[in-house]
Order: sequence, then C-alpha cells, then structure tokens
Amino acid sequence: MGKIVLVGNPNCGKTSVFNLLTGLKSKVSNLSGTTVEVNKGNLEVNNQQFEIVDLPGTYSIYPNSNEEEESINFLLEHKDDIDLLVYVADANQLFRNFLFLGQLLSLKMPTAIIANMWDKVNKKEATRDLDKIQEELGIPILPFSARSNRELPILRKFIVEKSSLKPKTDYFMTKDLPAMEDLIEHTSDTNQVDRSNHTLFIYKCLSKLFDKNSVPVDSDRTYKWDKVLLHPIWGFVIFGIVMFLMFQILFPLAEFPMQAIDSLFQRLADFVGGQLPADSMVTSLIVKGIIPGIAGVVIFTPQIALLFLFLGILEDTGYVSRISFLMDSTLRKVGLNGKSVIPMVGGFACSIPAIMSARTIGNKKERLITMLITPLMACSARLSVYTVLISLLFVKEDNSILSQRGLVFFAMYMFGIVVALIASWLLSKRMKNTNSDFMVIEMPRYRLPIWRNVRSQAWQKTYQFIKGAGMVIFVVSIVLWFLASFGPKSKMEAVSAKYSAKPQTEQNIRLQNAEKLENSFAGHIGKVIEPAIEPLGYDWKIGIALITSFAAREVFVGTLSTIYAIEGEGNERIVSRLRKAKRQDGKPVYTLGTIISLLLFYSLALQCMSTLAVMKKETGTWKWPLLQFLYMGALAYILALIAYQTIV
Amino acid sequence: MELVKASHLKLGETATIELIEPNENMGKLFELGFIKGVSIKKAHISFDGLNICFAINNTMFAVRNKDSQYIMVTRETE
Repeated sequence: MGKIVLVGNPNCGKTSVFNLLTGLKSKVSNLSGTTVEVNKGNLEVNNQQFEIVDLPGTYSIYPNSNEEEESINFLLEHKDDIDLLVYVADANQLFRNFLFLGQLLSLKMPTAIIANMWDKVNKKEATRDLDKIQEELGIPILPFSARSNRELPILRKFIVEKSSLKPKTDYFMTKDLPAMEDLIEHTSDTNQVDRSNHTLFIYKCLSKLFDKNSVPVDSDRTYKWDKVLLHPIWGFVIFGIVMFLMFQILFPLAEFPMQAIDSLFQRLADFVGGQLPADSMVTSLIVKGIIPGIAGVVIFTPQIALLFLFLGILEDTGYVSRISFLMDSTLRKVGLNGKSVIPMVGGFACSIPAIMSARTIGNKKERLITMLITPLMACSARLSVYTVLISLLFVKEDNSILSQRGLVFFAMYMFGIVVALIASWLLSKRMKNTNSDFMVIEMPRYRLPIWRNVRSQAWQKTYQFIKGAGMVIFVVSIVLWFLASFGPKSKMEAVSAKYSAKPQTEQNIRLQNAEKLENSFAGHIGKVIEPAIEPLGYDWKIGIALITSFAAREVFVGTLSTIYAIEGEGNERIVSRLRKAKRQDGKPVYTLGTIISLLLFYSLALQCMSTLAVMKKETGTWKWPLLQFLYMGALAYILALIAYQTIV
Repeated sequence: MELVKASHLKLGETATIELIEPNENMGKLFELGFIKGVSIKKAHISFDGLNICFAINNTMFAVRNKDSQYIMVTRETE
C-alpha cells in the first residue's frame, strides 16, 4: 500500500483535501491549528491502495508547538517510506507558504503541490506564477479548490499519476550554508544564525519565482470587517452580543423539537406498556427504566446540535481567531494566552477535543493552565443538567422578548468563564514559566461558512453525544432499575404487607411506591451518602444521580428520570416530577437553594472520566488530571455548600 | 529614510521591512515572512496597545507589541 502524506502551513486546507480523498469527516474550519493530531485514511484508485496521512499544519521545520512537533517527527520517521509528499499551499499566499516546501525538498521525497483555494486568486497572475514554479522546481502543481468536490476525480488522478515523481532538489541548495538535511535532523540543536540564514536564503530563492508581495488595500473585505470586529471598543461589544444572542436563541429554537421528542418517548412508553403484560418485570424495566433514562438524555439533542452548529459557524467564518486577538491582553494577565480562547470556546462543546486543541499553544505553562481550566467551560453535557434545573426556576410560561431562562443560561456560561479566569490566575502564581511567551495568531480571511463542513461537524458531534451518553445511560438505567426496584427481602415485604390491607387508591399506590423505593438497594446506597450531601440541600435521590453522573454529567438527568419514573405513575415530564418531589417532612426538594446549589455543583465539578483520560494522555502523567479533579471537586462542593446555606 | 519600529507606525500606515533586530524569536519572525524588503501594514491594534495586527504577504498576523519592537521599517507613505 502506498503512503501519501499531506503537509503544509496551518489553515491551507489540508484536512479538506484529506476528507475529499478519503471520504472521512475530520474536523475542518477557518482557523489555524484545527488539526492537532495525525489523521489517517485510505484511498483506492484503479485497484491501487493508498494510505493518506494528514499532518497538523506547520510554518517551518522548526516546531513552535506540540502539534507542529508531531508533524516534523512523523516526516523524519517516515521519510524513507513516503511514496508521495503532497504539499498543500494556500494559492493566495504561495510566497510565504513555500518556505516550508523549500525546507522539505532537501529530504528528497517525491513531491507534488496542490495550490488550494484557487477559486479565490487572480487567475491570470497566479497561473503565470505556477507555470514558472513548475518549470524551476520540477514539481507538478494542481490548482485546486477543496470547497467543492466537483474536482475530486482530477485530484485523485493527479495524486496517483504523480506519486512516483522525484523533484529537482537543487533549487534551494547552497554551498555557503550547512546542509539543510543536517539541520532538519537536528532542529532542536540548530542555532539561530544557521536557522535564520537558511530561511532568508529560501526566501531569496522564492523571490525569483514570485512577483512582489502585497498588503491589503482599504477596500479589502476582510480588512474592512476587521476595522469593526477588532475595534478596541466595538470589537468587545460585538463579541458580547454574539455570545449573548447565541444563548438567547438556543432555548426558543430548540423548544419545539424538544417537545416533539418528549411526546414521542411518552407515546413509546404508553405503546410498549400497552403491548406488554402490566405486572411483568420486563415491562417495568423497559417502561420505567430504559425509556425514561434514554429519553432524559435524547430530549436535549436539539439544543446540543444547535450549540454545535453555532460554534461551527463561528469557527468557519474565521471569527474565533479575532476573539483570540481581542482577548490576548486580558488572558495574559491571568496567565493564559490569546490562543487559549480556542480551547475555551471549544470547551462549550466538549472538553476532550478542546483540551487537545491546546497543543497549538507553544508556551508550556500557558498550555498546561489552559488544559486545567478548559473543563470549567460549560460543555454540552452540562446543557441537559442546566436545562432541567433552570426550567425548575421558572414556573410560568416565558413569553418575554428576552428569555429569562436564556439569561440564566448566559449567566451560567459567564460564571464558568469567570471561575476559569480566577483559577488560571491562581495557578499561574504557583507555576514557573520555563520557555518563551512569543505568540503569533494568523487571522484567516473571512468567508461564508461552508455549510457542508458545519453541518457535518454538528451532526457528528451530536451523534457522538447521543451514542456515548446513550450507551452509558442504557447500562445505568438497567442497573438503576434493578437497584431501585429491589431491596432487602424483609423490608420490601414489610412495605407490601403494610399497604395490602389498605384500599388501592392513587395516593396509597404512590405512597407505597415511594416507600419501596426508599427501602430498595438504591435507597440504601443513597442514605449512606446522604450525610455528606445534605448540607448542600440534596436528598438521597440526588445523591444517587451524583454517583451515576461521575462518569458523565449528562447521566444526572437520565438517572433522576429513571428514579422518579419507578416511584411515580404515568409518563410525566421530568421537570413536572421534580417540581412535585417532596422531602420526608413534606417540604419540596427543589427549592431555590437546592437548585442554585446543584447549578453551582454541576458547573464546577469535573464529572467526566473521558476528560481525565485525555488530560493523562496530553500531560503524560496522572498528576495533573488528579489535581484538576480535586480542585474542581473541592470548589464545587464549597460553593454549592455556601450557596445552599446562604439561601436557606 | 528613517528607520522606525514597526510598532511605532500609525494605524493603517504601510512600510517596508529593513531588518529584524537580533532577538530570541528572530527565526520565528523570518519564518512567518517578516523579512527585508517585504511590505508591512499596521492594520489593527488591541484596546491596550499590547497586541498589533500586521498585514504582510496577503496575510494578517497578530503579534505582541514587545515582539514587534524588533521589526525595523522605513515608511512607504510618507
């Protein structure tokens, strides 16, 4: 099988080319450093098999961050078994993009060039440049636009036909400087002078191939937009409005599909309940265990999909880099870096890829702090917890222009950001800075979002959410159903005997169910942990949900749905059930104090095993995930305690 | 022509890079295309002046003011 490797500068469209060739759907966006790990896929053309490798973008052979280092190491390790190096370059920036090409040619690998984003260049001038480059370097070049898949057959043909061609490699060589291949093999030991001299020499060679470089004129569309979006005052105002509107729109837009899903699951439960024997264990397991548990998670799919869609649009337009620029000064004061915005914004969707995206931050201290605080961003898993808890805060229908629920939602997201900044400041005071704080952010050109990318990313992430959470909640629902339906024989029989002589009224049935639940195995487990959580305003049922949601936060709602379904009758919505929930003394469980306490707990606690696993992978030690788990857990417990004790 | 620091350019002003003063990040600036003879435009500035966006080679890069102190230029639009 042939090995074809895609390389190039950040944000030149390598992953778009990779997706086209392999049919895979790796993440692409209008943002430098979107690809932070090596992607691999397969291509078959005319019965020939190829492995396609997509490397994270890098400006040169001297890496400035972890993901760039990964690219360079891959090239050095595999240089002898690469059948074709496909150098993807932004056709609008060939002069700068070709520095890395000039360095790589010394590795003497068969090379072909894709001049991507060809649809955005001045064809007349650019074609002249390409002809000159092909002639001088002896490397085939394909003008291409990865925005559309119409040119895919040409791309496939180009890659297969050119895979055996070796380029002329003497164009960027000089006897006056140390051999480039020696420098590449020892990049970490190369001194500044050799490195700089080589860079300048390659640029000198390139200047013979290209007409003089240019700067944007005032009429340039990106330049004009940036005058507003990067404005020292208006830039922040617009950023605030964008974020505010995003959370304001989320609720009303998701309301209708959420109601439809809810009603679908209620009908499903009624249908299944009607088809199966009323008193059978299987009916109880399905109708009171599995269906409410899964419904408790799936119902939030519209909100999560919309959130991913909004974040995808922000990334694909090129706006996220602007947020990095706006925020760098502020973030630097608390020990972060403008590039920390990318993991932080990504953290609104999911901490796992967000933590990985911190690889683009070159400074080790800033990268580590970014990874430690990213899980404080309100991720999509928290969305379901927040939705239920915030709905409990508002009894009346919300018809105002500014959605009250949207405002509380926005406040919760802001709370996560503020705590993250404070935590970052405190961490930065305790950690030493060991390397340079040089930072550069490339501002991509604005573009209309590529709907295909945005939709595909939103769908993939939503599907992963449903699949991941669905599997967990499926297992948890079965286990919970068992624990909540059975208990020590003597105690369960005593409850049955107590109510057997009483008339079978609706109230007596409800009381019997409640007493059985309390005496079940789940009830016993909940009672054991109750003393620890009682000061936070939680009863033992919430305690069970806290335990099950340790693996993943979203399981909280599914757990409560199952517990209350077993206790109650009919197929009420979870919010209605929680509103009616009472403590033993007859007082409601979900008071303002308990709701605020739960909101704070879930906004701060690190209840996500996958986040801990990815932190271990990224830092190479259990020290940092453990610290992260402990500091977030302690913070969650203390603030939830203070909130409940103050409000009550 | 007078040599000035790129950070001292007026907003929207265009200049030509003459040299990069030796510093620990000189190589990185070269690799991004900040080299002698290249046109550079001070395009945007952050609210506290600590970050600057420079347009060069049809690209826009945001760098910190302290790193841009080493980019010496001569004004084109004088």
